[in-house]
Amino acid sequence: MSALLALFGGAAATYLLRVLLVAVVPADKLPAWVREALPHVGPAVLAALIVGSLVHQGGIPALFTAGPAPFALLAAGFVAWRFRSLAAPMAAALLVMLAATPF
Amino acid sequence: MSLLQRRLRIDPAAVRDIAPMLLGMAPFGLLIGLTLGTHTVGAAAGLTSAALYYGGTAHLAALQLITAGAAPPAILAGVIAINARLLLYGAALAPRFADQPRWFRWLGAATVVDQTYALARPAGDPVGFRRHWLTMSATLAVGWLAGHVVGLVAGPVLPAWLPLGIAAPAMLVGLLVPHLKRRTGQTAAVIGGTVAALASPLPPGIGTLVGAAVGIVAATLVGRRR
Repeated sequence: MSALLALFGGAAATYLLRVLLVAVVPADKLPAWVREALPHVGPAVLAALIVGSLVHQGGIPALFTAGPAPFALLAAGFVAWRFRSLAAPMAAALLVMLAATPF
Repeated sequence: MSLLQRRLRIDPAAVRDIAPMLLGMAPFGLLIGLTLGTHTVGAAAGLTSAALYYGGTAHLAALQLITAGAAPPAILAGVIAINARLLLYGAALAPRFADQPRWFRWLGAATVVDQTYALARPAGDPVGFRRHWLTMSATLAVGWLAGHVVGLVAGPVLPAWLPLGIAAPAMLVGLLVPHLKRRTGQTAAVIGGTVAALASPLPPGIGTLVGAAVGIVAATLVGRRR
């Protein structure tokens, strides 16, 4: 029962995080420095998420023991830059991973 | 525009925008479905919570913490740490929701996630923004949950060597690359990623949050210099 409460409590907390600055605090009430920083949220968060998925909790050294995943993501980055597609980078990363997988 | 599109107010461009994202999210959905298949919370609660979380990382972390026997406050703290970035997305999207009706601000915000944030239309056409956002969110929800169901049902027969885990970060790379045209975007990404790696030994989600925060500050300072 407590596990279910924690699971659905997490869902409720997630909703609150989403809605707080959209519906509760009006956008025009945000300080100027916050509005200035907002355009940088996307690249900073995305890069942090990508790196986090590679290193998990291992710190910088984990980048060098992450197997073919960093190369797969580099291939995805190249394909995204070259072809401006969202599906192609995933295909490229999967192909690199499959090529590096021993059968 | 077909009769069905007019009746349901579907924006075909939103379906086209989000469709490639579904390809990237499908393996992650499969993975969570696979986890739900053997989890103590059960399939019904697992799928319901998947719909409510509307995102995989925190949901999967919560399921793993439950399996590990973590106390409810620890599970809640983990979810909040991982999803704190949604607060930043909400702040960035707030101007675009500002001229929307109240019901949409409360309902639409429930689907703020990496993909919808990255593909949201600019402000200026409130009705167009709303239609695009709702179509995109509904399409993503259907595809995302379908992945869970497939994982739940077919998970046991999927080969173990399939590299499903790479699809989600590769999708994020596809979202990141367009930001790298600008100097400030490059700064935010390089500093954010480096600090996230340095801070990764911290509890789950905190390293990402610290990296993102430092990246945002660095890019803001670079933007002021120019």
